[in-house]
Amino acid sequence: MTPQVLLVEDDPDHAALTLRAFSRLGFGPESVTHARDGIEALEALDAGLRPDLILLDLRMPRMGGLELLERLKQSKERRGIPVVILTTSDADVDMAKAYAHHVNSYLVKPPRLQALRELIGQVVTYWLGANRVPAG
Amino acid sequence: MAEQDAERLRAALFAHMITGFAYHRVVLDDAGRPIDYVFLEINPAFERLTGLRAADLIGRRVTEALPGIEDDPADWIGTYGRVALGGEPVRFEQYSQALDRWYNVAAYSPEPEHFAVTFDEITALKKAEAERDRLIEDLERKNEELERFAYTASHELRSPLITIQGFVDALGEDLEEGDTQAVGEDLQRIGRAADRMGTMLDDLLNLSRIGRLVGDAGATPFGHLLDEARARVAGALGDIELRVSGRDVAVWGDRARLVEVLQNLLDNAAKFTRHQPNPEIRIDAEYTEAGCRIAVIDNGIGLDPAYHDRVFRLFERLDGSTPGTGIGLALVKRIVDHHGGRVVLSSEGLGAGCAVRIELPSPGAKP
Repeated sequence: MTPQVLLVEDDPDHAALTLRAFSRLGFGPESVTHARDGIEALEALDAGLRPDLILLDLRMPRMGGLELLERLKQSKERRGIPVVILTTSDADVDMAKAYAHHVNSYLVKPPRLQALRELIGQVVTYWLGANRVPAG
Repeated sequence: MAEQDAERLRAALFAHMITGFAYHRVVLDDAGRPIDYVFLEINPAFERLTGLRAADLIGRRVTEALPGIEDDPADWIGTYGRVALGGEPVRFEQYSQALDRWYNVAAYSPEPEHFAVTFDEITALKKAEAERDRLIEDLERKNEELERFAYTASHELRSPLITIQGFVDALGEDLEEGDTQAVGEDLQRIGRAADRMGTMLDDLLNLSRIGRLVGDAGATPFGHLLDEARARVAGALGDIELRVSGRDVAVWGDRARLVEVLQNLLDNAAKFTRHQPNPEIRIDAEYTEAGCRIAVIDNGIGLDPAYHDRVFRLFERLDGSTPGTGIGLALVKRIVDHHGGRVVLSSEGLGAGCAVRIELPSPGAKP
């Protein structure tokens, strides 16, 4: 079974770029689910999605990344899912907040497509390849 | 003769002192606690600095001369009483409730149960200090706001930039692969992101100018403001029904800025009402005791009460699928703030429509 990724991103263009990067790595629409904010992400999880990785933007309408992160890490069933922030913000305050909420990794969106692709490649190699989480 | 000269000199020194002086005897209760004091002697500077007259004071108790002084948090009687009863001399700055002035005071006791006070008035100095503190606080707040503004703006502008750079790269790939449909989509995304960036920059510039550009205030009939605003957002309003009342109400403020307020409110109401069945926007103006109240009420999608404060923050957008830069309502709030008014948004929740009410003061209205 191919690993499942949940991409939570409100900007449709940024989502398209990230999906494009995933797609070139062999992760097509069947393995990457796109939610447009924290609420949609929770709905997808409630509907039975079991992602192996969550890629999360910070500033989103309705429910932003930090709030979703907090809920995930407070949930016994979901706290084991690796959450990687992928945002435009390189502000210390945002990073500090994310780590305070037990984020697994914090990445800043690179402006060029090739760099984004390399970054997503590294994310896939590490979080979906090398990293281990308890089964179930 | 020499003694008489010395006496005259002492009297002249006392009469012409520029520092206020008073000599008192403390009044004690049965337990020996100071409860009052009697004025024995004061100099002309005392009269000048307090506005009190010697004839009204000499031989009288302070509680008679300045009723309520026993309740002044400064505890004048207690402080002077301790000095008169053998305490150390004191020196302090203190506000007098009874006289509504600030004094720099020194008190000492030359003989038992008596005390002398010398003082200067420092009200102007204290007011200047308070004004300086207020300005510093204001400046610090503005500085913080500016820092937050620069931080948020730079990050918001980075977002369309990433889109443009990313899709320029994607465009190159799609051209190489000869995927003309993808090329078209890439170009559209680049174009839209560039437009968004342009709008954002315009809005930001507009927002940054508010402080400088709120111009002369005057009274304008509400109907005139509304017509101008409507004309600017005619496209967004489409065939949404507008119900207007209070066109004759005189609204006080900078006309151009007030039109911008209405323009943003109408644009906002239209955005969230357009796709509803029977869209309708009600616009009312009415007089209040302090000025006037303007209400823009729509039957659009409404919003959760939890977000009512957030919508006025810069770059806050509650709905990613609705176009906008998240600057409009922040602009409204800033303009209204600059007019000394307030803006309140209310909505019963999703699906329940939304009302924005603005209160603007007018000069001459009852406060």
